[in-house]
Amino acid sequence: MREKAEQIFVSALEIDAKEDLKVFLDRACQGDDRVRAEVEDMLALRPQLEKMFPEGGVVFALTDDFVKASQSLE
Amino acid sequence: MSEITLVLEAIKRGERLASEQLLPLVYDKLRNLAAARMAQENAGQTLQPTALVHEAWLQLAGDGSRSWQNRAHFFGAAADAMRRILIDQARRKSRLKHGGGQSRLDVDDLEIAATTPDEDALRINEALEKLEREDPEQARIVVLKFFGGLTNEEVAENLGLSERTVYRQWVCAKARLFRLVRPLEENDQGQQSPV
Repeated sequence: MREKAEQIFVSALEIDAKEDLKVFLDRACQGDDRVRAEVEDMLALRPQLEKMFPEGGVVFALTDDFVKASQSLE
Repeated sequence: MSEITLVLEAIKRGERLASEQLLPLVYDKLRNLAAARMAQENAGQTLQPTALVHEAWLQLAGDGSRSWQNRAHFFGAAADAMRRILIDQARRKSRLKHGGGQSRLDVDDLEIAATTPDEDALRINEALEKLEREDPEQARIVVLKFFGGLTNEEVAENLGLSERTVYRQWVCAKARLFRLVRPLEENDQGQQSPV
């Protein structure tokens, strides 16, 4: 079930309009309420995921000092 | 072929001076990542990345006996080193915050305040250990992206996957990790509540 939910979740990420998303989920989940609940739960997490997993990784929340230091090595 | 790959191949062939050429190249890579990171509005937390990179370098270079198959292999190991250092540091800070450790930290102790707070990093690491048991490939992608800061393209090269697969696995891994972290947070809150 998890794999199916993840496949639907990834595809659903590309759909912006709420109505389109509903139509897509109706079709993709085929009446499977558990899969649908799983997908909707993952979709609801999106704003929190971006905060918890910043682009560039945890290591690279860097200061000017680092950029200056690394430039001095060139 | 990238310059880093050429240097790594030279190291593999046993050319001693090549090791000295690698560090500036790694710094350059990190600088580019840093510049991209800093362009984001919420960047600007304090840390001493130079110390972090030096510490990672010491772990990577060690006694010089390690060899690197290629660029992807090197950055994979770098991500592991970053993870160890950041998690060790977060554990130490957490112990101090909770009253452990009576002595002061060394002056040259790393001062790392990453975008995610230390305790978040610890919770993510704990959830990641669970994910490693359940789905090693997704977990590896998290290590490379979250701790190593690698791009999807670099992760794909590292793991021999397509970029599309890396993207799919990464977004799913984030959701799974978050859901693993949630019960951990609830447990933490439960432990802190008066019985």
